Amino acid sequence: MELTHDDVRQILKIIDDAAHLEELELVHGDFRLHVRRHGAVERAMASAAPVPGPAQAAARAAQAKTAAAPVPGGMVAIRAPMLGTFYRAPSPGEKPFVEVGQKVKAGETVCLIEVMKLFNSINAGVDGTIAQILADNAALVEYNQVLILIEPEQK
Amino acid sequence: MAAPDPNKPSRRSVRFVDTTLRDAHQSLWATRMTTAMMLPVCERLNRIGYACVDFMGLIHFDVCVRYLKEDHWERIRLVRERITDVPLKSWLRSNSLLGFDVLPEDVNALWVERLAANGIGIVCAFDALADLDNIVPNLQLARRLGVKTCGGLVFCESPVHTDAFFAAKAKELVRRAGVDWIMIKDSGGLLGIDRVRTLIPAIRAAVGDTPIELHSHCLTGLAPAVYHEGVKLGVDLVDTSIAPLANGPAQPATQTMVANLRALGFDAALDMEAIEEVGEHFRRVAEQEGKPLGVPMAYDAFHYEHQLPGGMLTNLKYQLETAGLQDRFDEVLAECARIRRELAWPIMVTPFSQLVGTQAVFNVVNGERYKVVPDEVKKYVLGYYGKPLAAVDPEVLDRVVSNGSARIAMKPAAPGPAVDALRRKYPGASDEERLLRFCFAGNQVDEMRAAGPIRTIYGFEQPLERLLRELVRRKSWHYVRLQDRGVDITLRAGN
Repeated sequence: MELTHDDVRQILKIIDDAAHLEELELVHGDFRLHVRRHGAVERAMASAAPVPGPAQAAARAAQAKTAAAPVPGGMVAIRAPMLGTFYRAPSPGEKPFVEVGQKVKAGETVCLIEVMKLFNSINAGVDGTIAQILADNAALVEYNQVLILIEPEQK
Repeated sequence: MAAPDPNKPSRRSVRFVDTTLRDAHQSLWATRMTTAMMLPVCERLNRIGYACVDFMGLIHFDVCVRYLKEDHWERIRLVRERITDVPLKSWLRSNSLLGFDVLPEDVNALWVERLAANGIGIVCAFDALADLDNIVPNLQLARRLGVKTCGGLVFCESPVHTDAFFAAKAKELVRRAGVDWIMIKDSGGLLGIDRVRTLIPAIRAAVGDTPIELHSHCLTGLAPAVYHEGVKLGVDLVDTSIAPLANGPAQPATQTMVANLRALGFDAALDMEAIEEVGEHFRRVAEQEGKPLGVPMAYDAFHYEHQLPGGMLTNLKYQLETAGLQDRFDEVLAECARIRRELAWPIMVTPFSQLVGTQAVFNVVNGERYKVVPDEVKKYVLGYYGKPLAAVDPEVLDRVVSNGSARIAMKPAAPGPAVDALRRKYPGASDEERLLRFCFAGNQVDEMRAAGPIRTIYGFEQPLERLLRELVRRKSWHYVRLQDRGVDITLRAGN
């Protein structure tokens, strides 16, 4: 059986997934590949490379649920409306929309979320003071993740 | 005189536009064909007998710089050195170059001028809203520069996209821009046989002798038959790509199209031997790189309902999955259809497919329609991208305007000139580099420059050779022994 480019890609994937292993031996028909991380060390036969889990979607969904962390009493949470990239300023190099301690009006933009190449201006939603900014600029944020906490103005 | 019989066309020749270097890999390989993969077949493409070689779409400029680390101006020059007798085509989308927003007129003009100077021989401009004010100035400029021009009409099915609508726009393109060709650009693969039978005669009546080019995608397997019917009705040029980089989401295969049209009695004077050599080259590239080949698709009636491009469907599914809402996919598709109606039937191509799709996800996920409004949706309803094709639903307009960002002014302002400022900011640079700096934020241009000049050699290797080279390149394995049918190689790193 002749080695194909497809086989090579799969072998390299196994090798790359074996970053934690010291040694790996792969035999298939006439083909035999033996790699060791260090030149002359004890033989420790490699076990099979881990198979990627089929339930990645489920894992991500579970992750999304944990993103909905508890919000401290009295605070209003600004959440990500969708999985996307969080930006604190209108464009790179510009001043952030808000800083901690700053007073904001309900209709004021506090951050941007980029979803599928579109920019969504997220409003404060309430009059109040920025209490905490919980996501880093340019970070990937999960659906429903708390981004900013606002302490609403006492009416 | 009797009416012409469409089954016995009087005209006997049809010309081909090759899309292998542009749309074929955009549709099949996420636009990741490198210049080195193209160069070995350029001389063959030059002598096959094409009317035009489609070459640079908008996404190609972006992918060149950001992912392939290639200077696209250099790519144009390298290919132009080898494809000298056939015009290379570059696209213009509205007046926004690579992004969504309207860009200054002088930047657009400089872009067109540099395309011409670097070897582009035909410019094809389209505006998805068919707002021709957005494209006529660029087309006129290209003409003055001696570049051929093509006016693209993006096709879709909707109550406003009638035959009369397309015919009127085609006529206006010929009158105002004097285009050399009119193209029916069916990016979504939505054109069916019934529609082509009324659309082509309507456009022909409007444009007289101006050649008509037909461009579609095989998303439902119908495009080859649509081309066949279109040519019978008077289409002069067809867009095809060389199999195996054809079919699937790409264009119909040149080889099959030539055979079909010859059977119909048409001349299709192409060098079939050279075509097979090009096809074989890309088959080997695909094999070595692990990239897919085009596989004919089965007929899919649902495609005509949602009209969403393939990439968009995958993206929407992913977005819903990450929010744990994958079971609401059908609801999002239905919401897309409703939003299109409310937003006056935007065509589902960039950027409008993103606008509709993203708004649909927000509407479904947030439980309240138009509560979260992307900035671009607000800009669209306010006419920032051109005049919407009909009135936007007034209630929706209100919600979009009040819930969208307050930072977006109610009236779009034309951006002021920017080229002088660019020349001052980058005094030692070429205009090509200034345009790169204008289009790409941050250090993307510097990273591309750091990657060095474009690789011009593409080598094929044996699988075993590649495996060995890749293992050595990884540096993390200090002992490698490879055995296969008489081959036995041992590599041991020094201490």
